[in-house]
Amino acid sequence: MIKPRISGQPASYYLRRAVDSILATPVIAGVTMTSIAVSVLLAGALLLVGSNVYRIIQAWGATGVDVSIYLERNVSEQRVLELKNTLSSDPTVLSVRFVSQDEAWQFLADNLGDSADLLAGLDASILPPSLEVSLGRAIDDARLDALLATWTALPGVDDVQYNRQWIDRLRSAMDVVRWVAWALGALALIVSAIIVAATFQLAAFSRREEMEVLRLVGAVGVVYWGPVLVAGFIEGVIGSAAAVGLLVIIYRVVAPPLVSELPLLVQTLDFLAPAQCLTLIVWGAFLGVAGSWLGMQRFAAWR
Amino acid sequence: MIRLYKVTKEYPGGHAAVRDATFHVAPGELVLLTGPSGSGKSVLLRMLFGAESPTSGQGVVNGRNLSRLDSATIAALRREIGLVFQDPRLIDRLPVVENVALAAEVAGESRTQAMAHALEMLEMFSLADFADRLPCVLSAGDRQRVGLARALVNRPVLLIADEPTGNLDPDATEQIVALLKRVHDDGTAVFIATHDEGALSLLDCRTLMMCGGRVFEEDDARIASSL
Repeated sequence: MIKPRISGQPASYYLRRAVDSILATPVIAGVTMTSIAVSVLLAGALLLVGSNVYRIIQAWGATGVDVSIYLERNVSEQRVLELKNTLSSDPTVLSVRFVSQDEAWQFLADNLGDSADLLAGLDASILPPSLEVSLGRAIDDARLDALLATWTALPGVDDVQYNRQWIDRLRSAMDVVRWVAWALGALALIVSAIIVAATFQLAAFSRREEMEVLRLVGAVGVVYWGPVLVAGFIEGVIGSAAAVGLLVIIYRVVAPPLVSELPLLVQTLDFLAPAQCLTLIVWGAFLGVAGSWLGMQRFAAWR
Repeated sequence: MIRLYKVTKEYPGGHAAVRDATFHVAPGELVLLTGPSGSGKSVLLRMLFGAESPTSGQGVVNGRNLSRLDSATIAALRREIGLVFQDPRLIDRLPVVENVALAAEVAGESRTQAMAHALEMLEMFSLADFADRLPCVLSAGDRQRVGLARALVNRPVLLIADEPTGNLDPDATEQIVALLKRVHDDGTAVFIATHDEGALSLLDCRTLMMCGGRVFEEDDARIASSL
């Protein structure tokens, strides 16, 4: 069997020396892996919370945009039918419901409750009939504005109103969530970079004698720094895998009571997708390799 | 093997640790470099294995120009020669045999070959019983012998030793000097820098003297001091 060789050395050389150096300095390796685990846990928790909050807000918005199309008071039943057909034919419209003047009057009276006597002396004819239209959530502002303009111009239509304020608030909330997530993510990145850099400096310091010996016996290039980077990779993978495992445990402890205690707010919570977990582990491995490489820079000037 | 012509090493501020060093060491020759502390012996040796570069002059070690060494050629030079220091510079977490095998592995031998060669060297130096021990449990003399075994595992054409007996008691010094003589007898050029009187008294060979950064042949130095 042909064994792969890197810069004249078999791949096993790098792996063996990397594992040896991890096992030889368990405390330093432990601190390094812990710093990576903390960094990945922080990033994973942010991703988990952020994606669930975003999804919850999106679910609230999934109730769709409700549009009230107020009709002229003397609109004929035939015209109402034509309008219903016209509106229903649009693919973005989920449902169209006709609300007669009497139904609107009853709705108003029901909503006024004890204050229903305010309506004394009035009758249903003061309220316009309307068509209540529900739109799908996947509609953008431009499309919505175009639809509203078209509907306002239809014969028999008096006015068009919709729950824009709610939608705008929802969009603002989503923007805030997005920005908070970015800010916290950036903060987590900076903090974890500082912690990881510091621990890898410590790890590099602990390896200085070995690095000096390697130089003196003629190690150069990949043979010299390869095992250190492989060690960083292994530490990164172990640290980040541990962080993802810990995140699973925390999620399983926290999520069920949250769903049962706040059923109106949170219907379901989802854990990270496998691809996101893999991304976190790759991120941890990258931190390990990058940290090792930075730590190695202290030896770069050696001859 | 070593050929220097007016090699000078000057540090920023104008201090010259080595001035116009001119000498040569032939293949298979045993040469001592002696002189008081601070005379520039270590700096001169560091230039010979590429840890320092000359400020001026021409130096060649095993065919490699000391003024034109990049990191790859420095490493190649160090795989061709053997280095021994006052502190043997062993990796304490690796067993003795692996310390020795490391140099062979870095030079391109397979793990199996490197371990086999390392064991051969340890047997040659009567260190086979210590193969699996960690260096930290060995005496200073044994550690130095392990350092010497590592320096020789790749069968170098030149051995450079910087104060190899500096930390040793007289018995250990005698053992190390005997080993160095044996290495020389086997055909390897040996260049030793030392001011250890014990070691000097045991070695009867060509001697260079260093004083104030300058290198003199011993006979020239004697003539100069008698004038």
